[in-house]
Amino acid sequence: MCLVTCMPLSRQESERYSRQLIVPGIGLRGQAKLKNASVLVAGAGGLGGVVLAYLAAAGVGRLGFADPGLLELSNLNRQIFYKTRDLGRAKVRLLASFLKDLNPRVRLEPLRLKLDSENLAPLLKKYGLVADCTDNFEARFELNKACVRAGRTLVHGAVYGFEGQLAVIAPRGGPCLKCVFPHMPPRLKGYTPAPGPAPGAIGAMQAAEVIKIICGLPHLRGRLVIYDFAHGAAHSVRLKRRRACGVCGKRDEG
Amino acid sequence: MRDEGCMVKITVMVYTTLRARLGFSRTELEGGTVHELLLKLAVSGMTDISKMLFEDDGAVRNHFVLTLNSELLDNRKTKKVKVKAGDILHVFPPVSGG
Repeated sequence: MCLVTCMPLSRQESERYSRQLIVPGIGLRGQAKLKNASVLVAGAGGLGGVVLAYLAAAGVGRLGFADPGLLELSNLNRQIFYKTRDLGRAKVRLLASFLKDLNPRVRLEPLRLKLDSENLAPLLKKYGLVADCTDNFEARFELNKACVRAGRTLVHGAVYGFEGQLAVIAPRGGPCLKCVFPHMPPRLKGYTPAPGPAPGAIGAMQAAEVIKIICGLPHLRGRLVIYDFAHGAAHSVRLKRRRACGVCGKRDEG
Repeated sequence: MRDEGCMVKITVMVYTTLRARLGFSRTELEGGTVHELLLKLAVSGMTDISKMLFEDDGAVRNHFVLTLNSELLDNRKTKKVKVKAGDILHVFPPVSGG
C-alpha cells in the first residue's frame, strides 16, 4: 500500500493536477490517495453528474455510478453534462463517455441499474466510499442502511428548490441518516422543484467532501449543513445518534 | 394564557414545503416554550399548517427536524424546552431531490 501511495506522478499527471497539488493537505500524498481511491455514486442526475465530473477531474482512480434512467428533456435544465441530441439514451453510458473525455486515466464502471437492498451489499464491497445523489427517500434510506452495514462512509446531498442539504455519514458510531430523519415524510405531489444551480452547488460540495475524506482533511463528519441559496445563508447542525435507531442503533432491522 | 413573564421573542426559520405554505422563510414570534412557538408558527402564515406540522395528539410530526440554536431537539419533548430571548429555532423536513 505504501509503495503505491508513494509512487511518483507522470509528467502529464503532474501538469494535469498541478493546481490541486499545491493545495495544502492534498499535495503528492493526497493525489496518490485519490488515484488509489474508489467511489460509488448513486444516481446520475443533477447531483451525481456534478460529483462524478469533479471526482474524475480530480483523478479519483475508480468511479462506479448507478442509474437505470434514460435521458429526458426535463433533465437538461440542470444536468448540464448531457446533450440535447442524446435524448432517450441511457444516462450512465452518456456520462461514461463524458467522463472518459474529461479524464481518460480514470477507471469508469457505469451500472445501468436501480440500486436496492439486494444489489447494494455486494456492490459496496467493491468501493471505498459512497456519494448519495439519488432523487427519492426510499433509495436514500436504503443506501444509508446498506452503507451502515457495509461500513462505508456516505456523503449525502439533496436539494429542494433553492435549498440544499449536505452531510457526511460515518459508518461506525453513527449518527446515520435515519438518526436525523427517523421517519419518511409524506410523498409530495408532483415533481421536486430543481433550478439547475442548486444541485450544481450541492454536487460540487459533495465532491469536495469526498476529496477531503480521501485525502484525510477535516470534513463534515457528523454534521448536516442546510444551504439556503435563496437568501445566501447556511445552517450547520451537529447530528446526534439515536440510541433506538433501527439502522445504526442496537441491532437490528429498520 | 401563560404568565407574560415567560414570553420572549425568538427567530423562527422554516424551509422547503413549509416556506411554500407559510409564504415566508423567517419570522419572529413570542412564546415560552418551543411547543408554544410552533403552535403560533402554524397559524402565522398564508395558510394554516397545523395539520401539516402536528399529529392528532398534538405532537410535532416526526419527519420534521427541529433545532434550537443549532442543537437537535426531540420532537416529543417540545413542551419542556423553554426558549430565551434571541434564540433561533429552525424547522425543516428532509429533502430528497437530486
